[in-house]
Amino acid sequence: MRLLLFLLVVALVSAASQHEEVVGDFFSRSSNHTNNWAVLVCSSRYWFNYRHMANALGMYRTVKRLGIPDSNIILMLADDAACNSRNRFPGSVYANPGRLLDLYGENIEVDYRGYDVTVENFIRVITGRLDSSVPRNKRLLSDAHSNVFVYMTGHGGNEFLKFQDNEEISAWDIADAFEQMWQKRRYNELFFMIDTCQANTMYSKFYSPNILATGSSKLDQSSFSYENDADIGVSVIDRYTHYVLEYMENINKTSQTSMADLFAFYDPVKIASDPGVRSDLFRRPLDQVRITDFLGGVARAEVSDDDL
Amino acid sequence: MDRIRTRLRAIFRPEGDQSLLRLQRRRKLVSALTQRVDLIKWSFFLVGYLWMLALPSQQLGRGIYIDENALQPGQVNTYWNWGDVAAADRYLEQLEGLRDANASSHLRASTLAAEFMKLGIPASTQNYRFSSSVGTVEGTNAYAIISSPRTSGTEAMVISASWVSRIDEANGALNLRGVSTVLALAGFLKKYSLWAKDIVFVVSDGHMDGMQAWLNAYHGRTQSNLEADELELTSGVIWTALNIDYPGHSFSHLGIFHEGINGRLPNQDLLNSLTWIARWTVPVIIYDHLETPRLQIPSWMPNSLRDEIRTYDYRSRNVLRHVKHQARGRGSGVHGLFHQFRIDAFTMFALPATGPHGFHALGHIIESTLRTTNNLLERLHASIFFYILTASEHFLKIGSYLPSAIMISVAMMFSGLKVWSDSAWVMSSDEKGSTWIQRRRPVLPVLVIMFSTHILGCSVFALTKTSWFINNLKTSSAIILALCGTLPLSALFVPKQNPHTVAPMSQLLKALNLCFASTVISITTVVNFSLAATLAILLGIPLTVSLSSSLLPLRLGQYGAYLSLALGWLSAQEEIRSALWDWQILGVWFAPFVCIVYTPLVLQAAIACLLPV
Amino acid sequence: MNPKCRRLWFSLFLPLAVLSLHNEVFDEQLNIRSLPDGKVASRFSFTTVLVGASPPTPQNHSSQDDPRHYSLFPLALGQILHEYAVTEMHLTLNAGKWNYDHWGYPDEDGVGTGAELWAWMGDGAVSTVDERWRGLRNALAGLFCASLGSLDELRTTSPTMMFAPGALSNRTSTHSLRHASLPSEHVCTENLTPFLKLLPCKSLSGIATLLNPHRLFDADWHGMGLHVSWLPQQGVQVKLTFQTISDPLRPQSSSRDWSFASVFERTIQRSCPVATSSQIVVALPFGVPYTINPQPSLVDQGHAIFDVVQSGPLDVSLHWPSGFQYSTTRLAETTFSVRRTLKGYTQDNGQLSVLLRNDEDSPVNIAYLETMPWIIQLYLHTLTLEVDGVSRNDLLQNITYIPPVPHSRATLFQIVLQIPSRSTLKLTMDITKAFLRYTEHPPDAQRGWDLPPAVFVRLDGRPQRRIYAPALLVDLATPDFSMPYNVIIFTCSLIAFIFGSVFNYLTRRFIVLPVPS
Repeated sequence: MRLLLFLLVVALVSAASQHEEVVGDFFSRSSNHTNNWAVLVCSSRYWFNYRHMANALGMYRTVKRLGIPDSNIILMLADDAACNSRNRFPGSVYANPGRLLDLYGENIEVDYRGYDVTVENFIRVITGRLDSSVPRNKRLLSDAHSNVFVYMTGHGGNEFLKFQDNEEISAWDIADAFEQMWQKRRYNELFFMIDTCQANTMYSKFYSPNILATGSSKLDQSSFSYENDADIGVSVIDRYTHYVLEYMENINKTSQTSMADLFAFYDPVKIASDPGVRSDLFRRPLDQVRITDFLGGVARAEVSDDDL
Repeated sequence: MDRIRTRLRAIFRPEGDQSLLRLQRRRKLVSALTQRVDLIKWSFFLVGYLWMLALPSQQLGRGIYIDENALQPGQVNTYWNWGDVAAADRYLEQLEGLRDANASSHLRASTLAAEFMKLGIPASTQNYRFSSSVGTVEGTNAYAIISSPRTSGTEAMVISASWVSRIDEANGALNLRGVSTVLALAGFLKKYSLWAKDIVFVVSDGHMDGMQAWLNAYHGRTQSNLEADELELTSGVIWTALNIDYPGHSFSHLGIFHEGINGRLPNQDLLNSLTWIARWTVPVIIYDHLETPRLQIPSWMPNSLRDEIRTYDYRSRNVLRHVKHQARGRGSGVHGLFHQFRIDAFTMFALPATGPHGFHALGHIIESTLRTTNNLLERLHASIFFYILTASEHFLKIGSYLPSAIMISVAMMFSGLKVWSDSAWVMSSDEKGSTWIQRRRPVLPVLVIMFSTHILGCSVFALTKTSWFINNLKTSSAIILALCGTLPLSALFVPKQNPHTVAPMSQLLKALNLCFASTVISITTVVNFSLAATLAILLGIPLTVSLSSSLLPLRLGQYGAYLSLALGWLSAQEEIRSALWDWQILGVWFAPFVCIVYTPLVLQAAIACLLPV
Repeated sequence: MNPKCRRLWFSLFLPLAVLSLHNEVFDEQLNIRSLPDGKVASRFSFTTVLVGASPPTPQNHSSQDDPRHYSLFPLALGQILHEYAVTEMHLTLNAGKWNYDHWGYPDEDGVGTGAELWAWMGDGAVSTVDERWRGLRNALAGLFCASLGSLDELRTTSPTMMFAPGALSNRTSTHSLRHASLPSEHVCTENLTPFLKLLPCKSLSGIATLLNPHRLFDADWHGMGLHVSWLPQQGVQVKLTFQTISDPLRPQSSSRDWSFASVFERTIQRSCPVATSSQIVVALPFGVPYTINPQPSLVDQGHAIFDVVQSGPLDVSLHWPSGFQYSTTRLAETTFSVRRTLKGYTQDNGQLSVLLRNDEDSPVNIAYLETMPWIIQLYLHTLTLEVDGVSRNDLLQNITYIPPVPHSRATLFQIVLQIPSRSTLKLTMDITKAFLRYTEHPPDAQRGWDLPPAVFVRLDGRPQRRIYAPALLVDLATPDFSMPYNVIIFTCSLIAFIFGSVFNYLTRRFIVLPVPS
């Protein structure tokens, strides 16, 4: 009798471990994430910072195209570029001179706009400490299995980013906010991309695990704008984001392209500054991390014949 | 090493009681300064005047730059085309018809308003009438407001053209092409929805008076001698204004006129934007004189020095022109009236020439400038408000020119303080030897004299405001000269005081006069630098060297010299007339300043010469 | 799926929809009229009625748990209304300045620039009206992607006369009104996207296909509105409106012809299957020749009515063969007009000046509401009324004034005036501008603050029309933001140095005293 029980237990355990293996194998082949979130921040206002809004909107379009739904995207635009009365093409934001692609489109949700884009609101969104009256679509409802993509653009400097030209967020603030996220289990892996002057200094202070960071220029270097559109009258996009978006145009939902490929594509001559990557806090090797792990909203599904 | 250290210590931290040593050091420093006051004074004068002479030089200034990032000048395509030029030509014909028919202001303004209405822009006219002792001025302004689509109409920008051009204003040269540009622009700008501000078109009557009436009515400011209609159409807050002055057929250069009423200047970014925008199409100069060499440079000068001299020559003309406009307080054009309402404005003057530019180039430049000012999301606050433009692409920041006048006023202050402290001591020699004894310095009589000169100045000013004065300028100025010349002669009869007990009044008066003049110059430097510089030149050395003597003819001679310095302006009759006109109609302070501040200061120095020593 | 197939599926599901708890009726209408200055005014109106429903009662709103099976009524909105027990609510988001002289009265009254939100909520719940107002603002901010969360107590007032409710449920004792406006708010595609998502057919079919953001936001004036009200006989009504004033004369100034393709760059392909009625009503010009294409299904009292359900793909166009010329006389489409300006050019004080013009033959009673933020202080004792230069203080009938509390509460100023026939009344009042704390300045502090539009209501009898004066810009004194601490330290050092030196010089004298050892 006891032998039978023992054999039954062994059989169950081995079956379970076999299933565990299958399940574990399923999860280990890729990232551990089950959902994707994106936080896209354009922190500068005024019409002449059109290119920062185009940066954020370019990322927004890419992220939506690759599958993250609006409910999982927090888009913060500090000013209104599309319906600005100075805009010759109302309702449109273009990212290249020649105006081939309208980034604003007809289906867009901006979660924080105008004066609401402040350092306080950004940190509240990241850490989740929002007042109870704040509606759902303004919250970052990520969990321990979310991969979060944070993109920031604006005017910045050595370890700071200017919000709305009158306040600043420092690299320490962002690092602490991300640590709070980690402590509260609000992300599985986090990809931080920033396009400002001296951008690489902004991620130099991170200390939480599973963060992969990249920036457009290093200390004492400015990030430059790409080109001016003579009908709109301002520069329409920054160099770094332009080349990143150009690369992303070749990615679709099923691409297997990895982050290492993206980083290898960086060309300091074309971008006119030295983009950097910080991967020491990130546990997976970069050539196994797919771009769609962060920028796409792809849920991995595998058809299995076994019953689990 | 040790020896060096001990020696250094001996210098910087000598042995002994520290407080005593500090006192001794202080005493030594003060006495070193006070013994050399004359040297300091004259060196300050020298440096100040040399600095003023060096203002136009290339080394002192720097190139212009755009500080306000929002402006983004010259980055945008312009769409002004030959069809709009043809429209401008048609308006010009119509205006020439009005001119040839000697149409009244009222007819002209209503025709212009009707033209605006035909374009679909709401327009109206405004009658106004100024009454002053110089005569009454009346006219009718025409204005129109494009309510920009998609905006809340809270902000506005103005494009204006006065009916009379600044060129030969006295003879009424007309600004016909400027007005037709404004009309053509109205029809053109209406076609676009990219204006963030309402656009206000103003065709003001006369030269300066029309715009003064319009601006006062727009901002709800009442002027006692102005009767003007209330404006039927208003828009939001005006931030920038562009005035177009285009008197001739074609133009070769665009001149920028920027000085405002009472010495205010517009934000420099606005002018720099125009220079930046127009630099490939039309050369931009400041004022309306070209860089023509006036000096005959000897042939043995090397080339680099020759260029330096030529640049200096041209820039010094610009600086003198600037001083002339700013010191007079009248400003250099219609744009000057906007600055007091915190509106940045300047006049674009098309320098008449036989070619090559016309409506086409002007329209492109104006459209691009309007697109640039349209980009502003806040008032211009970043860039420079105090500057001297020496050339269209070269300017002096405040730190480069302000100290020159300040140094002169400091020198005057030192001089005054020295005279003051010297008057407290007198050397008395008796049988025992010569010693210094202190004497009393009665300030009250001196203050009474100073106060009474200012009262005299006020009464002179009150006299000039009457119409009798203007109509009989020669006789009235002679009367004023006689009055001001003879009244102070009563100082001759002041009893001579004992120089051993009481300080002589002439010394005290000189001291207080110098200190007061120095204060006036210092304060005026930040309000109106050109006026302060002029005062520094006119008052600096003369006030310092005023001294009384015992010989009566010498005293009278000096008195006569100072009197001519004080009242010499009575001979310039046209200037007096225009200064009084400016004061009554435009509110320019130059006339009261001359009467109430400048003349009394020189009179005080004159009286100091008269008083017995 | 081809349209026919889609219709089949819809017709199968429609009976199922009817089986839901409430009957829902959806109507849509587009009104278009040409204006005397050549522009075209259009008003889209999408109405969903929840038949037989009544507004949520405050007492048990949070515990009400009845399932809400809506098929046409927008669920997101219904949840918000229940959560905060809102009886009646109006939200408008507008851009541009409505020109009453040229365009007459709008089809929908709420044309104040920026965002305006007002709601009637019943008292007596566990949470106060103010708490629910806050929740409502934030929820609507989230729903419409607008910054309505800033309509806090610095901007909220409770005016008594202007915003009368349609009908209030008699199940609750009293209702309170909360009103706030934010004139600097923008309208853009991100506000239109949720607007369209609240419609049953979205922008795929029906009249809503014409809502092309690229053309709508290029219009001279455009605004959207959300109106929730209770009709006692019918039920809870949600009306979504969009009004525009387009200018066919802007690119070329010779012909005022318009068509759907020229104004909206879209045409209607098919009708919304769940719409009970779907109509396009075009006001026909009179006195001038015109041609309208296609022929309307019905012409009624100078209006051409097109039934979208019956006709197929539709592109209405109106053509004037005789061209167009602007009128050279001043237009005055309304008999009563208002002009409000802020005079003064210093950063310290100014004067509020309102001109009210009455062109009718009889006197007109109006109520005038100002809800200023606390930064503007009104001086009531300087209030003067003048008609043709003659002071007429007898025309002032009633003043309600709730003074502002600096840094916390807005001003509420409401007066009732009578304007004599065929005259212009000039109202002036002095104001002072506040000096703000360093942290209270907005990011674009050098621009100034937008003052909310003033509201005027005619109190005589007929349906109360609200007239909005445009927003005003007021600039306040600003510190030097680039170096505030430098300025303070420098100034203090200078004063200390000067004062110290002068004081020492005047009062201190060093005398060396020998100290006997």
